[in-house]
Amino acid sequence: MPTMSVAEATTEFGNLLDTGYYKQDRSVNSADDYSVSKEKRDMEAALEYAGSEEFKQFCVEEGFKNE
Amino acid sequence: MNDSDLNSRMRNRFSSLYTQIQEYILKLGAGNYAQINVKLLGKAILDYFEDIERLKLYEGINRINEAKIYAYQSYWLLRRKPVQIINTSGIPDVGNYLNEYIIAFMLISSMYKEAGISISSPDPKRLSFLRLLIYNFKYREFTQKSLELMIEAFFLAI
Repeated sequence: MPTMSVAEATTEFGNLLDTGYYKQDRSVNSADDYSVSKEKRDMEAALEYAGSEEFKQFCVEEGFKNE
Repeated sequence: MNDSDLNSRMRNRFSSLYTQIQEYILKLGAGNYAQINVKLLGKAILDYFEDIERLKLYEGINRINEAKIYAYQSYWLLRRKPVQIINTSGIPDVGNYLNEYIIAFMLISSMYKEAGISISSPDPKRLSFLRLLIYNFKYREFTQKSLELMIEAFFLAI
């Protein structure tokens, strides 16, 4: 099965929100307090760690086939 | 906050988490047997936002700190398990625990970044911490609050 791109997946999630898919058991009225800049920083940190030598070594030791 | 702003915040969070999780799926060599379930990742985000909203109302607080954000978000991702196995043939045993591994990687990188510690240079202590975290995610009971305590302890210890 082909992997959806981030844009495609986000659009699908947006459609789910807009069409009330989650509405029956949801009552969310506010977001958390995390800043957009920290959200971006965390994403970059995760991508940075995923590319680190430490991560590669860890994956091999754990039995993953690191790519 | 109106519905439009709230939806925009949720979409941004979805996009950020999807990007991170997808990168780890590929880096773990799991691209041929695992994928992200959009509905479950979305549900984890809504559960998280709702939980945080309830917490603020209950505690009577206006803002929450990073430890709570990391703890509650990780908890709901671990509960909803958005990474799904789509092909079981030939996957390594560890491949059955992709959610636990990936969320631990994301949590660790956020915590270290927030603490101002480099994550690009090797650190044997971090690897021990990572293994302990994954073990707990796989086999032990945990809650949002126990994760928050762990994260707060980490911040206080550095």
